[in-house]
Amino acid sequence: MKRLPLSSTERIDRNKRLGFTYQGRSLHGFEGDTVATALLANGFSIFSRSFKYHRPRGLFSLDGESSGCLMRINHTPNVRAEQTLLREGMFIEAQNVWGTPEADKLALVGGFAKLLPTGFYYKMFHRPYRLWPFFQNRLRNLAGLGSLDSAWKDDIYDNLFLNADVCVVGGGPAGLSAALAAAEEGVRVILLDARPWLGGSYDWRTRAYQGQPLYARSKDLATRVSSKSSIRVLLHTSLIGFYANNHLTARQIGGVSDPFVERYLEIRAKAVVVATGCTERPLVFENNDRPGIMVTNCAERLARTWALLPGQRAVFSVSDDLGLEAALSLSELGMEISALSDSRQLGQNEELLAHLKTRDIPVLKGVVAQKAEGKNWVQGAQLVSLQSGSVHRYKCNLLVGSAGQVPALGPLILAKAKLAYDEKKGFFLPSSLPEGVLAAGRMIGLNEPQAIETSGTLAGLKAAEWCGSDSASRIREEEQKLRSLTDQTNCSTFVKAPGALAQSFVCFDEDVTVKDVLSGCDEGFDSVELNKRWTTAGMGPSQGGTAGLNLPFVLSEHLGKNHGEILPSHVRSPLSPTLLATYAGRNYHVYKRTPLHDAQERAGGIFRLVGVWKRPRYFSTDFTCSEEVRNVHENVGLIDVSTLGKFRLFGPDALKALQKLYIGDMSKIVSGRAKYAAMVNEDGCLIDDGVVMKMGENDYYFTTSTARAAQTAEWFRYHTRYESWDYKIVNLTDCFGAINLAGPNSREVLRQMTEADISNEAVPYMAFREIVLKNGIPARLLRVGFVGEMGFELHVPSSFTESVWNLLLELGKPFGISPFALEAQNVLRLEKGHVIIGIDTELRVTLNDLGMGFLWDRNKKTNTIGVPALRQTENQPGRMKLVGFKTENPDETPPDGAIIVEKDIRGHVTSSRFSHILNASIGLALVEGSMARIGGGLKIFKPGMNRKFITATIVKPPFYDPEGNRLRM
Amino acid sequence: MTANRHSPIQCQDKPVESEFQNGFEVILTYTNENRDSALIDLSHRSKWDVQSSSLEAIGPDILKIPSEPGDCIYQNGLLVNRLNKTQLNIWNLNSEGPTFPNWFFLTEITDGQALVALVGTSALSIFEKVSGLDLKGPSRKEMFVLQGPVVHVPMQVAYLSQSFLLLGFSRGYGQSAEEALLDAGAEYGLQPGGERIFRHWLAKLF
Repeated sequence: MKRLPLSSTERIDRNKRLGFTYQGRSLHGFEGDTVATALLANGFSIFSRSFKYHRPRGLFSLDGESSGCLMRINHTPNVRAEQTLLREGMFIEAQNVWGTPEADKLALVGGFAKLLPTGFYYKMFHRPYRLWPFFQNRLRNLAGLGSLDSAWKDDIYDNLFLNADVCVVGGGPAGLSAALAAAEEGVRVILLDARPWLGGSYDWRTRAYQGQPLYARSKDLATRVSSKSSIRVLLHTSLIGFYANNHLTARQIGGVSDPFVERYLEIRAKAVVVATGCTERPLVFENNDRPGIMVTNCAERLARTWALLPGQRAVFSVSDDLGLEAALSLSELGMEISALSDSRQLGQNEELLAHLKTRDIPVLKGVVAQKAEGKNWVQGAQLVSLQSGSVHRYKCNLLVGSAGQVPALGPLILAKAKLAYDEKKGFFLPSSLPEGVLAAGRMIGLNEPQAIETSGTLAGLKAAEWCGSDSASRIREEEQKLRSLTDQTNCSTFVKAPGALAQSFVCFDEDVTVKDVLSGCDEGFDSVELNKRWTTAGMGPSQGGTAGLNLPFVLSEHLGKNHGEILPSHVRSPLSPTLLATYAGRNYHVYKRTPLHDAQERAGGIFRLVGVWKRPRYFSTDFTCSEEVRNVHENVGLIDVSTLGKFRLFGPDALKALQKLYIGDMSKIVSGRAKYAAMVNEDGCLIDDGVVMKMGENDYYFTTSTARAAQTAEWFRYHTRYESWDYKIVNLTDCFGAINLAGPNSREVLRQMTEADISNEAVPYMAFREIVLKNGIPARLLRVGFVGEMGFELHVPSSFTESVWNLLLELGKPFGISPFALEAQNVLRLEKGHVIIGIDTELRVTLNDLGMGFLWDRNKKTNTIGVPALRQTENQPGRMKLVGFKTENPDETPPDGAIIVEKDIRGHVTSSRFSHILNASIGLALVEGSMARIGGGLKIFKPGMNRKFITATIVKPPFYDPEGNRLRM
Repeated sequence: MTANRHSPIQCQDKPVESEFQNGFEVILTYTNENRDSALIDLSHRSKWDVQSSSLEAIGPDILKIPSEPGDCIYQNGLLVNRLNKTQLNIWNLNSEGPTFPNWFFLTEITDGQALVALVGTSALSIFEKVSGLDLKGPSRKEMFVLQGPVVHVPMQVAYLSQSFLLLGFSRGYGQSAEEALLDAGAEYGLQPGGERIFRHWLAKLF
């Protein structure tokens, strides 16, 4: 298609050629072209085939309202060719075709349209029902648009988090005026526009306003906006969601020089001005989907913005003055207009009519398109008089069809604005808006430039006032001005041509015709929400883009109701289709590393994410970790336990806080001793355990489980919020690294590290000391025993921890030291019957149910969280209990989570492992209380065992060293 | 001499010059550093948490206390951030700085926090790629501290100027947060910077 001569309205840069590939051919377009306009310029007018009948589809609109231009671009399917700016080297493919878009072999499906009525798959393939899965799979394989391409390469998808006083959505005249007015009041403004340039409906129009064409006026406004440092303009940015407190989300498509393909925006604004203008409603008539049929602004913009005359001889069937204006505009560019039909009998703008007359364009009032002729491209139009029924036939290669403008209310609906049907305008308008949300421009029913701009200015001022500026007097002036501007525009509510039925499409995406909608209605699906689900109208990629506008009108006419009586379909985010990659954005993998991360990585640690931490799970590919476990039992091992929560609690009321939160009596903590203590929640469920130490007067140091570290400070504050106690808490989790040295040789290794007396007498089990290690490194030494062997826990300032680890490994060599990781620790603690909170516990079981009631000090006089629940449930029948078990066959180790069956499901295995030292498969299980007796049997079901079970016997933990002698050596 | 203390952040870029400070090897200059867009590891700098129900009683002879939560004061090489009614956070921005007595209300948290400086003319542009915190609000003071998520990590953000931000956060996140920040700032030429760049920007400001 030959480009028109250079004009002031065009947005392409003819000096910048961009090469691309389509159908194996190297082609070129210009910077500023979209993929669709570049293809059109190269003579390709059919971009895809329709979803169901494989009908040819071309450029119908330019703002993504139909799926006709979905293509595979750079291996990404379902990209909107009409909204995607051309980039150098793009690889473009048609989709949903077998062959080429011009000669699609699957087009023969259209010949069976009569056999494929709405809901055919519900009716035809469910009887007998056993056949449904067969058909379901095949139908699903046929359904869907586009396919994933393994050649797709990841690209940069970015994020941006923005804050503003006022966010203006829409960069047309109203949005630009609003942004300027708000900025002049001294507030920060963000302006979003879905198109790659500002100007909205002024951008391409040549109609004169205040002595200059509208496109020039839009450039003036845009220049003024750009000169304001307090206005941030984001182009090619479409709103996705509008949430509470004016939290907006949007996606921005990257320009040629941007480092990202798309980016996801989160915007927080005090006030929002929505000025998204209108969408053009398609006219419904027979073959209204043929390539060569398009809405008025599409035809005019192709010519004015991209210098592409979409046809030489055109027929117009329009419903408003913008249609007349477009016809004039295209006529000025050399298009022959055979006929201009207007569904309105009266009310046309007299000035426009006069201009049309001077150009010899015949205007047919009360006449609409009834049928398009031609196959792969429109070749003629049949017009019908609404009054007489007389038919006129014209040859043409462009049919411009429009049922008028409808406000783009999506953002306001998401913002929970209330809508009301305006009989005069023939569409829904916002009747009440949430606080801090304003609307302006064509979307509130205004059409004249002055009214549009004034409404924008007024909205901008009100938004600024909402943010605190003193704008009252200017608001009064603008309100008065707007009231004086009467809008005489006469709109039409005409949508469907007489006789439109089969092949008259309401929804282009899903190939839903008027006949489909009406048959659905007759079957009882007589509301928009029901009908769209039955017919799938509006359920396709454009999500109600075109279908959503016309479906209510078609239904109301069929049901004999007023247009306002049938509400449009509900709108939900995303308002514009967004790639999952865009939502993911940079998707940074941010996690916590312990101070020993690098050292353990060098030692061959195999890491896993454990909550927010990355920790080594194994130190070899033997995932039973038998060697790591054996070495702890026989020599000495060391494990990184830096992730344990560590806290300082101090202040005059620190003990009161401990007493309230811990279930034991914390007043009994002895200096130099660590007290094992547990916290339960209000239901008596164990939520945390650790050790508590008294470091000085009103000064405590305590540890928590890894999982609870982040919540502990809040847990203390929450449960003491009404107490007015004076205590403070400092999270020291990251301040100290922690190493657990365990095994019969652990003391000997530690002796190489310190001159302090660490004998059993000086540091007995559950004692702690402040000591100094080699090189003067300070350490807090705790004698604890989670893994069942003599053990020392060293808490060392994090920056020193790696040095201590390296020294221990070096000095411990003669004693057989080696690191062990989480899985080995899991086996070792299981041998001792120690629980891990969240693995062996759950919210249904209390401290007593776990057999840990010994931690609860019943003589404590203070009010402690969870005690009432513990008392109430202590002897409650029917509670789950935690028990230990051994399987009868040692080689059968049930998986964690395996269910325990006795006619019914009676419990589940919480954790189970094979213990080499015991030569047995052991585990813990939560079972119904009635089963929890020592010596009782368990039948454990393991997936894949069919009707067989693993049999086990309930035994009393600990399984290993039940007297605890090895801990106290 | 070998360092026996380790920063939570290890940069891939090659160091040119370093020195030992308090047991840490501190990189003064990197090979590819960019003075106008740099991320500088200051995790080795001393830091303290101060909590007291009567913070005002501490000063002013010992320490000037910022009057409102969110305020910062720079004094004698120390940046004092008021986090809330009862809590302060102190960062020593000088390589040599004061040591405090063993006050009950004070807890040394040097090893608990990673601290990085984001400096350069693009600092705010980079920041808005990784955080929704509003650093540009018209009501903001000349210097201030905010608390909130940056690259999804809870951080304390001290705004010293539009080209100079300090980010303090849990040490464990140090390495991955640094990598995320460098990635976000790549389009602005953000590079790991040595401490000389930090000193340069600090001297420009104070």
